[in-house]
Amino acid sequence: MTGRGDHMDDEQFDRLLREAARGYNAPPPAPVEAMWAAIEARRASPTASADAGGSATAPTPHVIGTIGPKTFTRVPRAWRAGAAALAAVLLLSVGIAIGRQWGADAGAVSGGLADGRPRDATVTDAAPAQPAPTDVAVQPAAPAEQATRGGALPPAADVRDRAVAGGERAPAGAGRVRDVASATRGGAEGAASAAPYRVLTAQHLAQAEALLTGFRAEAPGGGGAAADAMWARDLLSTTRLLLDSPAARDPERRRLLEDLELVLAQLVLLPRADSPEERALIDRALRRGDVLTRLRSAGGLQGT
Amino acid sequence: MEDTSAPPTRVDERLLAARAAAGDAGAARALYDAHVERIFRLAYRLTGEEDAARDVTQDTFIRAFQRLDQFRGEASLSTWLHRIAFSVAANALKAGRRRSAREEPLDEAVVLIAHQRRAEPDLTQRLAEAIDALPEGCRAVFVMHDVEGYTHEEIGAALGIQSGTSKAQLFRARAKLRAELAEFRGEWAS
Repeated sequence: MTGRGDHMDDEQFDRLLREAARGYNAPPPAPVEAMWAAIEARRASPTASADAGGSATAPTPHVIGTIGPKTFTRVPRAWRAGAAALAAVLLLSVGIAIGRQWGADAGAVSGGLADGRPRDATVTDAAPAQPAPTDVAVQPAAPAEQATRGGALPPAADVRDRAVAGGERAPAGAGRVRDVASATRGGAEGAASAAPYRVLTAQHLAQAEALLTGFRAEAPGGGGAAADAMWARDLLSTTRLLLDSPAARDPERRRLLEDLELVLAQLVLLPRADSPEERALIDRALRRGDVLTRLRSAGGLQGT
Repeated sequence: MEDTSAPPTRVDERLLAARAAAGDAGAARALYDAHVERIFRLAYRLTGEEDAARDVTQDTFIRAFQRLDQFRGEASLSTWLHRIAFSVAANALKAGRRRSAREEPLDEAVVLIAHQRRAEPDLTQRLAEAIDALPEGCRAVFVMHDVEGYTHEEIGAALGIQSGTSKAQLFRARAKLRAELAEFRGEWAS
């Protein structure tokens, strides 16, 4: 890896590489007519079509300009009937499962928001709990969390509290973004509807800051990469949901979330090859966007 | 992934697709003409072999024509086609059809691109080898973005990944190439 003192900076070098890379596998002119003829010929041949496309359940292809023969007669009818029955049973099972899950989620949302406070976590949020640095519990922006702890805790929040108390941390929880979205869609307007997003974003940024601070303090190969990656994966989902939410309307916050997304995506991939070089890449992405400083200031500002 | 040469509008595409699905040969040919060049270019960039690129392109359109009735028009037809093309190309590469001997066509490639680069032939080869050695995801994103000029949104749609993941892959790819070709920095700077 090279530093600032090199002959040219990374941007210049990237530009030159891009320019040179245009010759990589430089394609000749497309043989348009020859390929079209081959396509027509293969589509006219039922076995070739099946090979190319596909699946035995695909509809009989429309043969352009000709009437295609009936194809896919190799599968016995009894098998097809059995497969159809099996598919129907599977579909029904999946439908029931989704229905139950839906019902459970809806109950949790209405229960969690009934007292007007943002719901902190659902049981599913807390399920994939993971280790976290000890300083994570002290978040500059955790009013919702404190409020929840201070009041009557719903069972879901109980689970999360137990996880935190036991040295584990529930992930940021994409579910919370969805919950806030449904809550704000439901009734509150204007500034009031933005408040849950503000709180959620502040919590999220604080967690990201904690993760990234912990990451920078770690030594490569110290065994923290897997835990970091798991945590980063959760935060990444939430970051992406926030990017699609009103929380990203502010251009500066959007840029911060985008930069954070890039760093988190790299962290997710880290366990595949945890080396000083990979860590240096992430560190470079952090430094390039001054992500940690921006996270700290954004978390502080939004938490107030 | 709009085609810049003759971009049909989304509505045109849906109509053409519907007509082609109903067996209209002219509509199918129009769709083919609108997209074949770009699909072939990408297939060639990814596979590095004309035969393989032709196979990928043909398979892409055959599959697409078979499934045109499933095309709902939520994404552009080009995005949909690219998704199929990438899947076909990835399978072809997995099946071992990736170009193995770079030495033979290298001279040809150097001649082809000599007018548009300042780099040394040695660098050309090293760069090609470095790109070939990238992890498949990184390579696809690098080729699509930096070589073919796709946007991250287009790449995300074609590869079935988030645009943020595409950015991360590109970042990794560039960093790996920088590291791999660091020795050329001095030569280029001078």
